[in-house]
Amino acid sequence: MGKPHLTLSVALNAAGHHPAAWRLPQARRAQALSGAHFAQLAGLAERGGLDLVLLGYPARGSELAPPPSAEAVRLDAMSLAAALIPMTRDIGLGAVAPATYWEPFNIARSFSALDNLSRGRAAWCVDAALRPYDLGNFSRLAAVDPSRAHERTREFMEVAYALWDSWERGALVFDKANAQFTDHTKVHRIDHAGDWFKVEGPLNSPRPVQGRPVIVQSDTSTDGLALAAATADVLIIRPMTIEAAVEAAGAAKAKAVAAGRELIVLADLMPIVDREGGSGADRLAALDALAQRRPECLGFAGAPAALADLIQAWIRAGACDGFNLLPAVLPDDLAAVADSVVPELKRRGLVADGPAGATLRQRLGLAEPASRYEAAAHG
Amino acid sequence: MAEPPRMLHLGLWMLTTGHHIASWRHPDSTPSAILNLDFYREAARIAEAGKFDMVFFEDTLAARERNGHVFGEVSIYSLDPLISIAALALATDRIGLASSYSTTYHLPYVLAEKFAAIDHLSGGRAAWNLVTSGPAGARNYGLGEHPDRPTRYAMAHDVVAIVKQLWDSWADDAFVFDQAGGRYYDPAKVLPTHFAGQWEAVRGPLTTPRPPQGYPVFIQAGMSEWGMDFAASFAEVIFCAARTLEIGQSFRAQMRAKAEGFGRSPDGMKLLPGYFPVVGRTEAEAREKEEYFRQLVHPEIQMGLLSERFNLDLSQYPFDGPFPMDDIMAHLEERANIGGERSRFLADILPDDTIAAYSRRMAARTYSAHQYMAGDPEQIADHMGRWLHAGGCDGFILMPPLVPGELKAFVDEVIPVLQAKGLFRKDYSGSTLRDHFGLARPPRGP
Repeated sequence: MGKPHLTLSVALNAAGHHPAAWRLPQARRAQALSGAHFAQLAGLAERGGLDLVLLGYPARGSELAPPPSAEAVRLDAMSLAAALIPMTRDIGLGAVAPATYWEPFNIARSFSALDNLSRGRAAWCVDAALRPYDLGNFSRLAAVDPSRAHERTREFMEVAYALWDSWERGALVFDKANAQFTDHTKVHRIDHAGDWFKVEGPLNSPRPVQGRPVIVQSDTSTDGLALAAATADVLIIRPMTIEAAVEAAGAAKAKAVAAGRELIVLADLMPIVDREGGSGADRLAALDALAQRRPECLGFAGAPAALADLIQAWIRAGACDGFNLLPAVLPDDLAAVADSVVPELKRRGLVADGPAGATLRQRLGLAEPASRYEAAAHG
Repeated sequence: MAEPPRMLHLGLWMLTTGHHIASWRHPDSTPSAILNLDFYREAARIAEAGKFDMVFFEDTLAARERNGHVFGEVSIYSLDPLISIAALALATDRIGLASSYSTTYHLPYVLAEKFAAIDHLSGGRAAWNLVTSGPAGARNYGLGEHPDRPTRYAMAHDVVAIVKQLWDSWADDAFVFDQAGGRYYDPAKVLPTHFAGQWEAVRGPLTTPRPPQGYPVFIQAGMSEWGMDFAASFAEVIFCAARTLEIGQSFRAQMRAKAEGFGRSPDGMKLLPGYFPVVGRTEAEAREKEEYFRQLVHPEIQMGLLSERFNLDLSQYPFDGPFPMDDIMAHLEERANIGGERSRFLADILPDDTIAAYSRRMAARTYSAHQYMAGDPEQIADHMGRWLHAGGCDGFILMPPLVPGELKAFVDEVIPVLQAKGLFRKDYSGSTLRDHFGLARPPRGP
């Protein structure tokens, strides 16, 4: 299939991704814990024509961040994604969720609900990192041998995929006349017994609207790239230069192609855009004066048209298929992208100017996976 | 000053298309809607217009099976209840949002994190029904042997202790947002939990500040001896199945005594038996509805449901023959979700009952162990008031046979009668679920 246009996602948080964003006079304490705040941001992204919002990105585990950091306060990403369903209409809703300490059955079940209730807009942003601090909160992680962690993640995902497949399309028949709610021949046990997980199934929740949610990963280690090639729909990379991106995206895509799959590669980008209150460069300097550090990703400071130029250049060079935006200040830099940058990208033919697909998969040009049991039982 | 009169508390128990097992076959039911958020939002808003305390979603950990395959004839699946209540947090304003979640198969850190998020997102309207899970869940969680009941309750005790500590890991004023000083929170007021019990060790702290309600409201439903002691030690809302006023009175009195034994005020615990009303504008209309629901149950499915209820294949016995009591008793061990209270199953069986007669009687009320009644609004309201005043309950968890239709009928026809009789609030007086229940906000623990 392949998407003809670039993909844009945005990671939402309380005040923005610059570590000092929360110290600007406009920032409010309540934003961190307010559903209305996140609904406003998601609405802004949706009106701006972005494809996907990410909640809880970047993942950082259960360790409390130090006192100057706004990352210390978070809301569970899956609950937040669920809360945004009725506040949005067609934008994708991605939640960071673990493939480590939780059970694959829980992940499969929660995302079945997210995808059904959102009518096919859910994305799972897989967090497979083993962090030493998390061992203190999830004692079962102690049993995981770090040298085999990627194998375990692979099995975790395999179980989740099998559970989503355990209900074929059309398993729910709602046949009132014959008193048949479910066609039980289309619901299957998975009988998985692997090195780490033993799960009988079937899932107790119907097949996701998208077959399975869009799978987003961001681990670019050698093992992470192998996992992405085998299981991911979207890979987020963090290149600092266009050259590094061309190389990283090319390598990741080649691995996926070798596995007979497609992979959308997005690059993390923190924009800070010229506003009435000051140029992007001035705004960034003011923020840098308040915080010693910045996210370790590509930054941009300047006019909306220049940001459109950068995006265009990277796409043309094959450095990525789109960007995952980490706006320096929210809502300001998201509003600038939505109001100025996306319209410019539309004029340049880089962003579709028309109705998007009904599901996130359709929107991204990704095929809906068929249930493995469909082929086995009827094919 | 006189005590304000005691009023009913009402929860709505959401169960797909309704609590009648064949409700989805009703001409007014659109069963495919159970996959849409609009369906749940509509039901929650109807209940909110009726000033209900809360809407409640139950949990399952395995697809329901019979004869080796998924139970295909009835409405069986359940969406993740936590995702469902989170999805209603911004789509409702006042009504409480309650969900079961297992202490056996979910991790305490995850439980604390998710319920804290939903309490924040809803502005203090979350409630958690703690359930210890039956053996079906073990099939999907690969933990080997399903823990026995004493172990499950001991684990649950630990989980409650850890989850409270995690919610308390932030002082109420720890999130200082000191922009000038560059301190997002006050590190002196965020403390690790360092819980190390037999089953779990949790270091904490949470990365979410203390929930608006301090703790989301605790619900518990166990009616076994273990379950009662466990519930009395901490639960603020108790679900139960009480078929008669005497059962309700006795259970409520026992629970209140047990709560006092734990040093708690008995008024800090609200007992809500399940209530399955069929409401008609007249009693005759209610009876017609009842008969209509009865005939919606397909005959073959009736037998399957009975067999499932008693964990015994009843089709091997003559339909017009006597109830096989001895064989049934032998199979009533370890009933998940129902708490193992065999007397409640057996109470429905009359002397000289045949399988056929029992089956027909149960078809209207769908084999439920809960209170069932068909009547006009006046009769329903009087019944509810009688239970309240006789100390049989503090309210009810409503099980409408059909959603949204019969829920709307209850809200439109029974709620105004309850309000006119001074039995139910005319409007919400607070914003949190604790406000609705009249429960104090718990201070941060030591």
